[in-house]
Amino acid sequence: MSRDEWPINHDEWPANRDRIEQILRDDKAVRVPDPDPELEALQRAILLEDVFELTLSDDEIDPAALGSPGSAQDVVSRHQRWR
Amino acid sequence: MCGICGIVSPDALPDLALLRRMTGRLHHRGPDGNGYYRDDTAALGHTRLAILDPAGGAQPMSSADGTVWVTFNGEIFNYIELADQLRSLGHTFRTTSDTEVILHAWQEWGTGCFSRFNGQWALALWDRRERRLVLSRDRLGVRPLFYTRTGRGLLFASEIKALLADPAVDRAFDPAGLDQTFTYWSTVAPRTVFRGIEQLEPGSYAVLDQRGFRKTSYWSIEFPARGAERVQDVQRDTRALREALVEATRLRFLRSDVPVGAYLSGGLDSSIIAAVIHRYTDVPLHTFSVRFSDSEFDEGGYQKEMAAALGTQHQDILVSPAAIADVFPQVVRHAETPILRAAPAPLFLLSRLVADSGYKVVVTGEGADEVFGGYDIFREARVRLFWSRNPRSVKRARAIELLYPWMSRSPGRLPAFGRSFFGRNLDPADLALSHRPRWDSTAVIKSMLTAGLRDEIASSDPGDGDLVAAMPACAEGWDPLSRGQWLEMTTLLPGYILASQGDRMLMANSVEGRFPFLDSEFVGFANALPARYKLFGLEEKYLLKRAFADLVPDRIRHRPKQPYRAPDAESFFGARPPDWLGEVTSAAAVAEAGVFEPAVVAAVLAKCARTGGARMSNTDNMRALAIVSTQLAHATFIASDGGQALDRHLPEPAVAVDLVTDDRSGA
Repeated sequence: MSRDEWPINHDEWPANRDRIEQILRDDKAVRVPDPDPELEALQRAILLEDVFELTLSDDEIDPAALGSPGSAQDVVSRHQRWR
Repeated sequence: MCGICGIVSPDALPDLALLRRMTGRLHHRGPDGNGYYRDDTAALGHTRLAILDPAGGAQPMSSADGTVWVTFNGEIFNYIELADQLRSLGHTFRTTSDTEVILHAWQEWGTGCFSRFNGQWALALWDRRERRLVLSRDRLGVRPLFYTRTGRGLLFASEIKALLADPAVDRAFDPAGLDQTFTYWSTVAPRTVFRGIEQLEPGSYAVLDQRGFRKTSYWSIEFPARGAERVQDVQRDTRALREALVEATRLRFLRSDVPVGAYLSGGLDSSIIAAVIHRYTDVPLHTFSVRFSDSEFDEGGYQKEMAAALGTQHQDILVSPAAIADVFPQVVRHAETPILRAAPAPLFLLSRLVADSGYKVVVTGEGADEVFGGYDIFREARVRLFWSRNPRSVKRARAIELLYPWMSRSPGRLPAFGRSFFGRNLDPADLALSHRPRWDSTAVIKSMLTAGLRDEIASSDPGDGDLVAAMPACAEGWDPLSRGQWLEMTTLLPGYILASQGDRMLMANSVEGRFPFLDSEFVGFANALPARYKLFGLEEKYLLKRAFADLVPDRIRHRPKQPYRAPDAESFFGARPPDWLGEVTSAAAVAEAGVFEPAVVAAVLAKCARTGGARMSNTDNMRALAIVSTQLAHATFIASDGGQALDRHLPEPAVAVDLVTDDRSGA
């Protein structure tokens, strides 16, 4: 991947769905997914908790909840509404 | 790069013969020349590795009016810009050296000059009129500077062995210094492992005059509060990072009057530096690498790939466990401290290769892991913090399986052990959360200490509480990654990475290291970034990888982080243990050193002998290295004076100024 292909600015606050999507795209760009779906969900949970300063429930740290960009966006958005 | 030393003796003439002995013990730091200056109160010594202005930069050097003298080890990389600025203020220069810039900068700005320097230095300025000595050290501790006070005054030097040339200097271990070493892997300035010998803190200067001895910090490691970072634009920051690192690299590669080579480890950081040189300069590049006969440690494939991609003239040295054991006594003699890893030894052999190839200077990727959150300890801290938000969560506990994938005993392979080890002290409020597992596991070494030494430690007890207490009050508002970086930049970076693995192993063979990632502008830029630009989830060096995606092959940019390691216990306890090992670790020698319980040492050594040192646990490897290196340090610096083997008759000095006898030459 060349520099120009990197996803761009994701530093708006509060986070909207675009920013969440950009974070998830960056995550996909910088690493190889873990073959164990549960460990992959943990990797994503660690990233989202750090970037968006939230604490996910065990139910949310799950491949079903964090496995796709759409579902992960839903999880983060739900937490942001609660803040 | 050079060696410096000096004596300030307010009540008696400084002993010139002692100064020359001290200088002689620093010959390896500067084989190209030497010099001295003495008046009725102070004496300065210098050994020179001539890199800038070989014809005009001899030291000690004086101001034009002869009132201020300097002895200087290091480089001021922005000396050309500073000289231009000083010329505009009316200063005139006799040489093209950075040494003379220091003198003019001192006369113009006083102690304010240090924060203007972009470089790596340890220096002493002596003002004859004011009878004032000023010692100064660079921001992050690239260059060493030790001092001690005797009944006759103050002695300072680049290395401890030069101080020990004075028989009046005490020769004993410092219990608190050993305690720190067996916790943090190194002492924390100002402490050393020797009683009564201190080191100047990085980023500070000291003044000795009629008002006494006092120290002042001119720079400190700072981070913004989490959430208070300036408004970010990732594209702009990516460009700015690239520009800052390119400039830092150019300054270090081009500002030299001798050829500069580069280390190539096969990892991301040195690959970026080499690639920047290749892209942004027209100078052919010579690269140097360490290889290991054991594939567990070897990164030769990546090194060759990077060297081929850049078309460098590449040389490597294949290091065996036996070669490590062979040079280890020299390694400890140069490191001047117990070391808990054998990893400095291959770097000693590498700098010898560099010197044998006709090079005096190398640039390396050192510092990137500290500045850009590259170490596993930072990933570990993030996982532990994640787990600490719900310590009873079985799901969260599984995150430790993401750590240390390169280890044969990784948490992924031994999850129960991993949970037990990393699950201790999960306190998110602990400012040292990042470092507790390392400190706790290292402190196992202290279970081997003699009761007497433990009592002495208890009565001196600096403990790690002092280090945490020394963190700035604002650290509570920093991102946890920043707190971990502060601890790493305060302990391991100056105490081990830049010392035992850096300056000491390079200068042992008269080679200067230059570190673009530790450029003051670059560090300031990086420290101001949000933590997630460094560690993005568990991906280290996010913005750095982004900035140089076009210069480093994908296979190297995306390879799993592999820390630099070398065979530890197996280097000493394999089929043919080195000749020196038996004597140094004998029951009599262990008892004489008084550091470790002889019975415990015997048990550890028996285990090493039984296994050949192979496939031992991290703890057992550390125990073995602690014993071997501490015993060597005792034999070298306490049972003898540490320098006799280095005492030599110095060549004719280039500068010989003795105002006591009114003898002047070369000034």
